Amino acid sequence: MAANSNPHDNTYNSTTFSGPVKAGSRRQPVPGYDKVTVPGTVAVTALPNAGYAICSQSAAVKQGQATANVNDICLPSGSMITSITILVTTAFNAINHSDLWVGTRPQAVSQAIGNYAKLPTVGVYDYADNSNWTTTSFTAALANRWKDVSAIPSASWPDVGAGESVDIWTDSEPNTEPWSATHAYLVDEIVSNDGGKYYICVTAGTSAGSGGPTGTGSGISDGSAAWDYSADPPFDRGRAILTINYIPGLHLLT
Amino acid sequence: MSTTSFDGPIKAGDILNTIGTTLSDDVANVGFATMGQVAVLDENSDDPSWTDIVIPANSQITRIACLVTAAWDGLGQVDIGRSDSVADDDEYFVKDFVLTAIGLKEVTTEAMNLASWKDTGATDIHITHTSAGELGKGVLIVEYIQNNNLTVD
Repeated sequence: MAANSNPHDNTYNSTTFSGPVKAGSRRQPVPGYDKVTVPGTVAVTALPNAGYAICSQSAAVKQGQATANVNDICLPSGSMITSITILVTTAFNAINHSDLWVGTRPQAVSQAIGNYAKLPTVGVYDYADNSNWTTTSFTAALANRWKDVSAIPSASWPDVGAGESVDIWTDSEPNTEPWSATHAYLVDEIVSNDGGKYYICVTAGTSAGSGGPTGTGSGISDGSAAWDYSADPPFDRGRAILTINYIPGLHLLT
Repeated sequence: MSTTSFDGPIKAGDILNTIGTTLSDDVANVGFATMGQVAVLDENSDDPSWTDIVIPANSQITRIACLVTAAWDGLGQVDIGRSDSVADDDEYFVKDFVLTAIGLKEVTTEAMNLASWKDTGATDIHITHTSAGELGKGVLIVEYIQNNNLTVD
């Protein structure tokens, strides 16, 4: 037996359904009865009570230099996202960027469904009360995208019509911006300068009015900041598991 | 995309009963699938209003949240209630649930009737909402474990 083999391998049998899975003792609507607008004429015990099984898909996310990465998550048509959770196992360090952007399809033509400003420590992050949003915030358009991820404006996404499955993409850029004059830098921030060399900030402060770090030394003074040269900067430090929970096939917007 | 429906709770695990003390061998490992129902909310001062959600009896509520697409006005908050009959709504899952910002809002520290969350009771319940304004819109999310039938201490 391999070291990490599952003791249940012989008895775990997946059951896969092509569409939503529901459960409840009454599933058919009462003919001609609208329980929202005309309540009170049919007993609760006669109304349909079936709910949807919440589905989840997860993918490993790695901070890297690629501008956008497809992952293993693909949501069925008409899905409503009910929650998103990110389990950070190694802290991200994209000081000049959002640590993790989550969206549909390649970023150039995609629609955001989430944008985590900072994932600076290991732990579990979620979207409760918008606590991790960037200034782009949770707009009504974005909320409607959660309601139905496949209801995407076709004009900006001509190859995929509304109602089709949706790939989930992530973007987690490291700090690779060129050095800037008189800029406030933080420890661990990475810049490029001096012909493409990379430097890691080791003393927070404001950079000088011109020049920036040069050479391959350490403790390089730059205004009130200081830098170490790095031949192998930690661009890909962040690691996380992205989990999207959803109800498939709702088509709430249609 | 066809829908598959079951009457009772959906469970998964390959050891159904505990008959010993050895994990992965004879200790039950069956869990429930979490179920969810959603309903479009339109803030309405003619309250209480009724949602499209009916929760099966003896369920455990695990989460209530609202995906707000238009901020609530009036008092900026909603009470999420329940009815066991055709008319009353005198019990609440959560009171003064503030929905004044667009986005996903989770019930966390608001005033809650915890006993109702642990076990919704012996009959099905119809979810209601009560607010004071006119402009708010959103999608109420209620997640639960069907017929978990927890003992309420």
